[in-house]
Parts: sequence; C-alpha cells; structure tokens
Amino acid sequence: MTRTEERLADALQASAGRVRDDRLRPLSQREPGPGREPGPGREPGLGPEPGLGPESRPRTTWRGWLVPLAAATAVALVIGLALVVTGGGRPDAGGPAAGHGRTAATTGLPRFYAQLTGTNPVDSTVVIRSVTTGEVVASASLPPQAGWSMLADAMAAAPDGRTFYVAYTAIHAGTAQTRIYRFGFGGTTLNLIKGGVIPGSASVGLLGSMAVAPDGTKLALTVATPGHDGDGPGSTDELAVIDLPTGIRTTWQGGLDRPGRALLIQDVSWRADGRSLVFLALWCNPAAALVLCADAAVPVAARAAEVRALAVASGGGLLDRGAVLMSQQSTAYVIAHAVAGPGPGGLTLVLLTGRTTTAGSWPVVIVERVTARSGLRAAVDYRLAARNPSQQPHDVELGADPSGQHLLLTLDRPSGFLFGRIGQGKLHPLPVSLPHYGHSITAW
Amino acid sequence: MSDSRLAPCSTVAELFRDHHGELVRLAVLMVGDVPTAEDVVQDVYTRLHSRAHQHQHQPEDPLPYVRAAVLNGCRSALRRRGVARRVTLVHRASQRHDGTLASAESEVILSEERRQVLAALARLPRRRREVLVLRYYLGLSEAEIAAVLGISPGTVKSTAARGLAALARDLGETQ
Repeated sequence: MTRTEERLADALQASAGRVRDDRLRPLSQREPGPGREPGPGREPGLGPEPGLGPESRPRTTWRGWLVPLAAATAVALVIGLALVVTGGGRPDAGGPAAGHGRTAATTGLPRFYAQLTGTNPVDSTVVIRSVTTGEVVASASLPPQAGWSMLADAMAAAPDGRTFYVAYTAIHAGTAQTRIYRFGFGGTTLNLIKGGVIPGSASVGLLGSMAVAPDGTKLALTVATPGHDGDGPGSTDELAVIDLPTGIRTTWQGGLDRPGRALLIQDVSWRADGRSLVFLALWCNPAAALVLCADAAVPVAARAAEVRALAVASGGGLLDRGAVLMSQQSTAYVIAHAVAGPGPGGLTLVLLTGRTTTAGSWPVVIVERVTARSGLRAAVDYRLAARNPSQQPHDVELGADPSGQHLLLTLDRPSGFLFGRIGQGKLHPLPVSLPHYGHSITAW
Repeated sequence: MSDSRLAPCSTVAELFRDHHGELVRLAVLMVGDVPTAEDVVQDVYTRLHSRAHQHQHQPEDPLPYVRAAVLNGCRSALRRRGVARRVTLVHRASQRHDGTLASAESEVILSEERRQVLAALARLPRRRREVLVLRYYLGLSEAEIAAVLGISPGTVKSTAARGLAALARDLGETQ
C-alpha cells in the first residue's frame, strides 16, 4: 500500500467507526399505507421485463368508459387519416402533438439554455449557452451577499428564450430564505426580482420547481414550508405565484392533506392558457424516509401520485381548486415527473414514467404525452430500455420550455450524466454536459 | 440490474441482520451522516422486503445487489437531502445534535489528518469516490466492485488509479 492508500483506509475506518452496532436504528418492515396495494402486475418493476419486449402498459382494471372513448378515438383516427391522406392536416411526426388530429401552434426549438457552472451549486454562477454550439453567450454572478451562503435550487426560462430566473436558498446564522433572481443577455449580475425574497422558506428546487407563465408576467414556484403539520423536513407543500411586474405573491396551501401522509409538490408548470397550473402531488408515507420519497423507486404503497390542475384565478387558498388530471392508478409505471404540454384544449400532459428496480435504477424510462383525465397515450416522445446496468440511470429529470413542446431530459447513470433534448424519439445530447455535483439545474 | 436477483423474504431479513452495520457504514461514508445513512438502508430494506415475496429465483449471493441498492440510495439522498438539511437548519438545529447536521468532516472522533483525507475524498467525482470506498473500506476486489457498480473490472481499475492519483495530489503527496 502506498501512503495515500494507507491514509485513505485509516480515515475510512475511523469515519465508519462512528456507527456502533448497538446504537443502530432497528430496521422495520412498514405496513403498506392506505394507497395502492402492491401486487402482481400492479407494482412497477415487477412485470415481465417491461420495455424490453413489446411495448405494453398493462391496464389492470376494467373501465367501462373506455368503450365509448375508444369509439370516439376510432372516429377521430378515421378523420385524422383522411386529413393526412388529403394533406389537410399533416401532423409533425416528431412534434409534441403527434398523434393528435389537431396540433397546437408550434414554437421553434429554443436557441439558448441556461446552466449553473462549477462543480458545486454553492455560490456558483450561471451561464447562457447556445443550444447548437455550447458556446457561452452570457454569464452572470451573484452580487455580494454579506455573509449569506447561497445554494442554487431551480431555474426557469421566460417565453422569450433569452431571459431566465434562478432561485437560491440563502442561509445565514441558522435562518434560510428563498431569493429569486433574473438574468439575461444584457448584464453580468443577477438581479433580484420584485417580491423575490420569501422569508422563512427554503428549497424551491430540488424537490420542487419553478416555471414562467406563457405571457411572461408570472412566475410559479413550489415552496417548502418546514414543519407544516408536522410533516418533517423538506416538505414542499405550497405553491406560490409571483406577479413579476408588481412582485405580489399569491400562495396556495392545504386542502390536499391525507391522513398519515405527507404532501410533496414536485413539479409545477403552466397550461397554455396561462390561467391554471399543473403540478405533481406526491403523498408519502412518513414511515418512509421523506427525503427519499420523491424518488419514484420507493414502494408504491409508500408513494401516491396525482397530476393536478390549479386555477390561478382562485387567488390563493387551498390547493384543491382544480381537477385531478391523472393519477398513479391510471398507469402501470410510476409517474416521476409531469408537466403541462400543448394540445387540443391544453389538456395534454407530458409524463416521465418508467420502471424501477429495487436497487433504485431505471431499466425503462418513457417520456410520453397523455390525454389528461383519460390517461390515454397520445404519443411517445422517448423511450429508453437499458439492459446494461451501467446504462440504467438511477435518477431521471424532465424539463420543458415554456411552451411545453421542447423537452430536456437528464439521465444520471453510473457512467455519467446524459443530458440532452428530446427530438424524433431520440435524446440529442447538448454540446456541454452538466457539471457533476449531482443536480440538474438548467432551463431553456 | 435485474430484480430476479432478489432474495426471498427470509433471506432478505437474514442478510440485513448480518450486514446491517456494514451497510449503514457504507452509506455513512457516502452521505456523511448517520441518520441519513440509516434512512437509506431502511429504505432499501423496505423496498427489498416488499417485493421479495414475489420472486421465485433465489440468488446465490444477493449482497452485491443490496450494496448497489444502498449506493443508489446514497446518490439520491445526496441530491435530496440538501433540501432537508436546509429546512432542518432553520427549524431543528436547536433540537438535536445527533449528526443530522454534521458532516463526516466535523465529527470530533476524526483527527485533522483524517478530516483532510475525507475532505479530499469528498471532492472526487462520485464514481471515483464510490470505487475507493468499496476498495479501501469494504476491501472488495475489482471484480466485486464491478458487480456492485455495474461497470467493467477494467474501469474499476482505471477509476481507482485516477482516484488515488487525484487524492494524492490533493493531499500533497507523491505516489
């Protein structure tokens, strides 16, 4: 052994020596919560190699309403086929609305994306890069923070594609607050937005998200409210919308409580009409480690998921002021991420689903468009079926541009990050990959 | 990594009974604090136990699979716990001092020299860190590490060499 090896082995042994067998927290076999019971064919990851064989999504319960819906779909398909044959409505096969008889207005591929630089999210700077070349076209740093430690959490792009927002958790002497900054091509400093300081809150991003409204005038974000209802640390159970011109913040909290469960809101996005939000609500069995609950690999009995709408015009209040758009029961695979996508009536959802193993890796990852409420698949944007463990991500993240049409996918694999845009069924890596501090804080 | 390597319930319980401490220690070396490490191992145990009864295939040695599951849990915890840690800073700092807020580097049991080594280890890219911990804490062979991480033995070898070289540079040593 070299001197380095000896020192390393010694330090590891000493550090591990802090764990004493007689003080270990006993392992417990938790009882399944009141949600879905695990069972053959129901639990993701237990099917016959899903994704590695013919594409299938087993439906485990009979739904009578599928019959008239199927008939309606058949009629729509015939009409759609006729339009295609006559050239009257050719869908963009690679576009987000493929599979629909009518497509939403398409937006061009974003030309720029924003990204944190450095190897640590603390006190890092942000850059704006060209999507095609990776060249840095602008960069901005935080202004001096006088003793505050700044940890980047989340990023969002404005519809103009040239303005970005980044949220930091600011920590000083045991207190924390969220601070939101704007940056773009014009300057070299991040500018605090009006109403961009949320005292007493932390962690917009790692368990939640942030999104700019289609008209660019509002910013929606998830907010962690520590200790709310005793649900422990890291519970992101509040939504806020900041009116960007005035800085006025409107909040929604409560109304979705379930006995014995902690609520986590993981994703927030805007519907195309700008009048409502879409968010992914997770109810976690507190017996499970809450910080891990957001991972889709936890047993389904410990994690219930719903994609919900929230009417912004409700002016704050409870989170239940909107419909359930999709629930975990509607799909055989776990819902890891959900964002609003374009489509007829703005009712298409972009879901990141997949199959997880008990080891927490993802042999199957699917990005698909589904029709809200029915859960019927409209299109599959991307599908990964990885037999090789080194290619199986242990974490997956999905981001979208403000239109919801163009998707960024991050796969964190043993062999490294794979970070790129989805197009025509493939993942096209962006020129510059993510820094390796384990977070995907980027936007376009 | 196929789930067919899962052990039946009894084997899962026995495996965790026999290796609980080792798995928590492995997790501690990756995430830096005991409560999070215990959460990770508990989470893996729950996952394995809840699914084990549905598998017929009995593996000869499920331990590499379990170690891989713990490492995956650690990676997720490292991503997620930043949130919990920050919230904890605000609300629980005064309530407990059991290691939740403490990093490996801050433990009084560690000498300054050991802290330097661990700090240098923490600065390494994740895979190099994992390889070195599996090699120099658990004493696994290259083949065993390859099985846990799902990479080739050759990659293990090169990763370990690069990791040690970087560690030596960081510590101001010459190899």
